[in-house]
Amino acid sequence: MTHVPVLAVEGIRKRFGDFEAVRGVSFDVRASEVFGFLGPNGAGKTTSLRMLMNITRPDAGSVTFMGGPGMDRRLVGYLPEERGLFEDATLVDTLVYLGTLRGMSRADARAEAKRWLERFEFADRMSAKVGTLSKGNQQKIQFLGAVLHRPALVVLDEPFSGLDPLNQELFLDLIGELRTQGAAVLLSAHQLTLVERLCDRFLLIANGSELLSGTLEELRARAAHGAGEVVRLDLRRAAGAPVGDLGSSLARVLPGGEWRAADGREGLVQLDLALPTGSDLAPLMRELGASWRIERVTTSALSLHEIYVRAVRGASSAAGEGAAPAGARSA
Amino acid sequence: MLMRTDFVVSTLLVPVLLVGAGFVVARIKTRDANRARAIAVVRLDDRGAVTGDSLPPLAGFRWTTPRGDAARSEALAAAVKSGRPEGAVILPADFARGGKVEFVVRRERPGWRTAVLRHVTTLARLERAAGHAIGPDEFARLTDTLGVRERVAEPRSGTSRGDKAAAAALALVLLMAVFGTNMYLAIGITGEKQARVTEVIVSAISPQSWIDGKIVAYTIIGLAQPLIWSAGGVIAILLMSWQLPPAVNPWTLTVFTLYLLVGFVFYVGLYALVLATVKDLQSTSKFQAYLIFLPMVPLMFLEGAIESPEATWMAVLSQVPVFSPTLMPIRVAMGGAQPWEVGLGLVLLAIAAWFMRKAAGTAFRVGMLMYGKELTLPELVRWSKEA
Repeated sequence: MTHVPVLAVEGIRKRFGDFEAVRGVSFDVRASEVFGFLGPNGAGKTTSLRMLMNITRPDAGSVTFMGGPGMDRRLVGYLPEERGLFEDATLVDTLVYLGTLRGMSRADARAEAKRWLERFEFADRMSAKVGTLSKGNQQKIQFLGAVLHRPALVVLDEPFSGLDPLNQELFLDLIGELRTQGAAVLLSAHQLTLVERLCDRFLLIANGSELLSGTLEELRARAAHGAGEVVRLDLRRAAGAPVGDLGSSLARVLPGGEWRAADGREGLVQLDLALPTGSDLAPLMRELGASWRIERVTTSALSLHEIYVRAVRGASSAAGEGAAPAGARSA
Repeated sequence: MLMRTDFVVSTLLVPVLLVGAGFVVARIKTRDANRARAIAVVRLDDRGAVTGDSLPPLAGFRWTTPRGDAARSEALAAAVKSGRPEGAVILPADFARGGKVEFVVRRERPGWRTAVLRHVTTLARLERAAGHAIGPDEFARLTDTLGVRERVAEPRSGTSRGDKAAAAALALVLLMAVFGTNMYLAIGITGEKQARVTEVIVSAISPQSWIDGKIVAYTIIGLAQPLIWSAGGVIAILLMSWQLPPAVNPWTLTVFTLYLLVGFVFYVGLYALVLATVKDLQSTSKFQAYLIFLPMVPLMFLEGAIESPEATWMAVLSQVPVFSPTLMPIRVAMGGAQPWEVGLGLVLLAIAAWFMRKAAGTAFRVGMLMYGKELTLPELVRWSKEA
């Protein structure tokens, strides 16, 4: 049985004067899924999200919600990037107001607000004014305002911004709960380690256009010319060994490969190599062994961060803006 | 909002202050009117010497007759400057035969000058008449004014003075309500933009719904005060057994209420349109400031509406939505507007109010995301097309 996605976006475009901010972006978000919507600053993420929320209208393309045109605002929760609450309102009044905006009755909104505030350990501060809370706590309240009415679709724009690690973990748990309860979650964030842990599928955009999309495994398969894992070698120059250029050695063994070397402490060099999963490391070890002592070798799957950086740099390079070469050494 | 302390205080305090100030001013004016003004009179003979004679009595004035050096022009000027007396009149011997009368005044054109000049002129005429053997009785008969009887083809109801006061009060009530609401509306719209709450709100409701809510809410708030004041004023007048001016009748009150209501929606919509383009209250442009003071413009034609309510230019002007909330009720109070004019003006005003709310909704939708940037009129037009 084919399930209709909760949110389906097809070829949306948006132009502001001569500048085209969004150029034909398409994706869908399904129930019980967390979808990561990623991109560098200025990529068009927030513009896209505002088009989904009908705050601005797309110049072209379509947005369908549960198979039909238009967004039923009662079934959508939205946490915008620009935070803002009424500082003179109490916590419970704020949540009741946001809940009633989304179609809840005042009684239901008040009951849900109290339940969530108790869970978040605000039970003794329900009548406190929002302005008296710290920034992180205000963010919690705004998050609650986005999910109070149990929406079918939750759109979160930079939910982790400004949160301490404990609160980041709290939000991770909450978002995971939303997924378990069947909601479709569209998440846009720059904290890629958190996003990687949370999201089921991803869409990476840059300059308003799609770069990569799919599950993490699919992204790894497509990123960096098929490189699916990162091999890290901790190297130290062997005593008495001839001075050799690391780059030249790697170029002989890994023509066209991607690597990055960084000078560590006490003469240590950390070499990261992006290789297809299951690559034979023997030739590499022999080449390096002539001049270097290999102190440690670790392998890990290509992280979302690595995929993101490679994809965006690749896009910038293709756009003629200049990017780092395939191999790069940094201090 | 209606239970906010500042709202309650201003609702109760403003009438007390206004009435109190009115009583104080009226009392000062009455005391001033009843006080006899001290004026020095210096009459000179043919040789220029002071005769010591005074003027015939005149109600409201007390003549003093300085002598010696105190009767000299310079001394009189110094005395008048110090406030005692209020002024001085120097009459040469030939003042009735064309000689110049000298007034010594503290400031130009004092209030007592006209009455004293009229009194001295009458005295001069009597002297001239006496020179032609015309006695005072015959002189009075010769100079008696004509008796006039006025037949009014279309009489106005009630006393003229009370009607005018009622008409002016109608205009002021609208003005006070509009400007009183302006502050709350400014905070309500620009404050929410600055607090960045608008994006959450308009993700749940349409920008038009948001601005409509503002217009409705602030219309209610803005009308609450003047309606409370007006009702209080009427009750106070009735309790004191004063007679309401005939202009305050059911028809006038109905017209006033309808125009107040619809006109208020129009002005609140205008303010919402202006404020939707403003990023914060400190950076209002000149153009925006002029628009905010638009409700004051009809006051320039207040006198025309009171004195010439039937005039063609006033009839046309009172149909224009910017002017009609103020001018039409005044024309009705002064008996100068036909029922069909009232209906037409109301329809035009309602249409204008509708368009104003739509424009405010568009401005808000287009401008709300332009944080830190003012929305100019060309941008509003351009983004309206794109929105």
